Amino acid sequence: MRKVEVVDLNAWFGANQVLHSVTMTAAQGSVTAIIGPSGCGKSTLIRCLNRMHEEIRGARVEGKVLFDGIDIYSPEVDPAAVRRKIGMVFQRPNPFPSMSVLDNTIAGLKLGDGRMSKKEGLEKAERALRAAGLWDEVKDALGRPGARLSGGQQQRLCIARALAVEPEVLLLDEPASALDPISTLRIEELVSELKDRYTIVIVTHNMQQAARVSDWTLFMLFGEVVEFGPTEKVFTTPDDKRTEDYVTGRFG
Amino acid sequence: MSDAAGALGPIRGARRTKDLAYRAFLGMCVVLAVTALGAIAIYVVSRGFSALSVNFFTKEPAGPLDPQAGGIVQSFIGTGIIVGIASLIAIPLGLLTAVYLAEYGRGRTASWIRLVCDVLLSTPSIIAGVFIWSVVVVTLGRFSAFAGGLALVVLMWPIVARAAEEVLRLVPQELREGSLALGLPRWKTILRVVVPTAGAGILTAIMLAVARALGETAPILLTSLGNDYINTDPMKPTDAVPLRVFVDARTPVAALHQIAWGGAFVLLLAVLLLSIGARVLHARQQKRLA
Amino acid sequence: MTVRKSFHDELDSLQQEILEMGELAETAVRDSVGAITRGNEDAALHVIEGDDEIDRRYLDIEQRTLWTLALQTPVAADLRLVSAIIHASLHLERIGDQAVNIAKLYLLTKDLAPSDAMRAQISEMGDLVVQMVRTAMEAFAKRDLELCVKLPKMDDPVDRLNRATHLEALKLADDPAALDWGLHMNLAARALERVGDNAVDIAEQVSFLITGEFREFTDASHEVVP
Repeated sequence: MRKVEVVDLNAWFGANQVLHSVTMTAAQGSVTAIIGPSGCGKSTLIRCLNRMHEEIRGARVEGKVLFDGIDIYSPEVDPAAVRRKIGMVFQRPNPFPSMSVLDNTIAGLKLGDGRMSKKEGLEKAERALRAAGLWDEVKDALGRPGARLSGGQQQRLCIARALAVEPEVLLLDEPASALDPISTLRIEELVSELKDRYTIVIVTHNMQQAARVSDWTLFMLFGEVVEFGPTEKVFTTPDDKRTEDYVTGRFG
Repeated sequence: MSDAAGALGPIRGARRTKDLAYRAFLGMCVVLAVTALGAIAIYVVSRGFSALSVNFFTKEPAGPLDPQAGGIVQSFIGTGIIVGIASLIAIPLGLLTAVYLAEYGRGRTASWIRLVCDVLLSTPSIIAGVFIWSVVVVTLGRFSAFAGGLALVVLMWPIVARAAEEVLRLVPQELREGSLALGLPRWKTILRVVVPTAGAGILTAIMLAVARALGETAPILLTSLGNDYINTDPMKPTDAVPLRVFVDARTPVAALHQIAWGGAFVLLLAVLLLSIGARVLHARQQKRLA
Repeated sequence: MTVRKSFHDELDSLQQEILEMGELAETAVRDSVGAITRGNEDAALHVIEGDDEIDRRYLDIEQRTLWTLALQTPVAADLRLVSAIIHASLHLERIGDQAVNIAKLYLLTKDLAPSDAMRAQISEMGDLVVQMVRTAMEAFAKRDLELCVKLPKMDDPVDRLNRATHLEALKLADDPAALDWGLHMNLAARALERVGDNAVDIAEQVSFLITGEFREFTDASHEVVP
């Protein structure tokens, strides 16, 4: 089942076109990795999936992104509503420094529309923190400022924060590139665990990470899709020579 | 041989002399600056401290027969009222301006607003006084604390606006992105994430603006006029501490000079406390954002 | 939370599969020799059919190890393990094929009169090589270097018996039917000798897995000092 479908997507920064006719799909419950050299447009693409690209001044998007069949770019759709269904975790952990671990986790709920009792908030926070593999480490320190955790913990806090809003899709923009190797592997293991319940799209510049973690791999070059296929295929018998050259490290 | 050693070894020879010379020069500059500040402070403290008494803080100026029995309580109250009125207007206005400039202002309107702020920042304060005098005092037909407050708004607003804008800009963009990505609207992002993060920095901006307002004399002179008696009606002439210092210093009465020194001392203390407090908060804010 | 759990689970699963493949190969050899020594046609047919399962596992291991190398980039002991699994699966598949050969040889000669002496030799060879396969796989399962080192010595009697069957076959030269049987059985003995060699190769791979050093235990062209 196609959870997210990108059809002929083009994107610009001002006059500079950075995505050219991108077409791809992310199936329900799968992990799709987007790889490619710096500047190939992978971060731009993932930001178009939850309408974050247009937040940048001068940025523009044309084309369709279908979420459960509905085009998220149609004028009746509220971008904020899209982002509640399609969550995002960024490259550098960005917990809110003015909030505690607990408040950070449920920030999307507390500051959003719903009203919650303290008990409800705690329950939702625990669920999210467990899902992110952070609960055991912070359950006695929920009041601590969110920014006082280690880098790996902060990133898992951001994942918990994204999960607390109960999205259906999770977008990860190089979530581990600012972390040490062990924290990186923990994030990867987390992705494997989460893919049962969420559809995940992950941008990574680390090819081995894409190989370890994903079911589908999208290879991009200069804003275009070069190859999109099952990960085993892309890494053992890719169709396109450019893909082969990239994954074998001959360029990029 | 000296070259080879110089690449990795300690500083020697001519280079060492130059180094010492520069250090000595910089040291002297520091001593000079500190001495100047210290001299002022010590002088004011030494002259003003003896003026402080219970009467000083609680009584109005006494008659010509016994001037040192009096005080300047009306000045303290007046400063409180005038700066209070000014703060009530300038702080919210300044913060809204800062939010606009930092979060929304990219186009020409924002550039114009910034220009206005920068001009006002360096405008002689007496011009603010003259402006409010002609717009408010003449229109209302009276001098008042209210007019005094407005004059100070002209001076405080750009400080709050620009200083707060700087602090808001320092809040990393990633925090805004993180909040937006949760599906939160822009205004909530600003109100509940950006501003609280800038927290201490905004307080610093406010403290700097208040410190400036406390010490202004010329605009108050033209708008609030001053008063020898306590006045709590904002629509009537009111006294202020710097104004009182000015007035008392110009009299031939030695006792009043003494009181003027006392006023100067209190002002200096207030401004110093606010400035140091602002610095401490600023340092803490830096640590928080790091 | 353990790190790379799914990868290590896959390694465990691959190891499990190779051990099961070992059991299948061992059984195939035993049953094919049993067919000859007890004159059991059903056993021989069973061995031939059963080779499909061994081949299926071989292909499965091929693909899974290839994917593991491509997708997980194993290093150190994990890498040596994957290498050992790839090699062992190849040798086990050969052993399976040899068992099929032996079974086919029986079917070709089932109506001819056997020589008891040769049958005894083949039976003994069968026992020895089955034991060799079992020992090699046990060494794999337990990572036991001592067991590995035993294998080359276990191969000596097999080689001797192989030469002996040749001599025994010569004795049947007078009777063409008996000679016919004897020559076929000689080939069966040769097949068993090949099984023995494959078992030694597996032990070499396990030794490499354990020590990180590759040593040849047997070499056709040189006398190898253990």
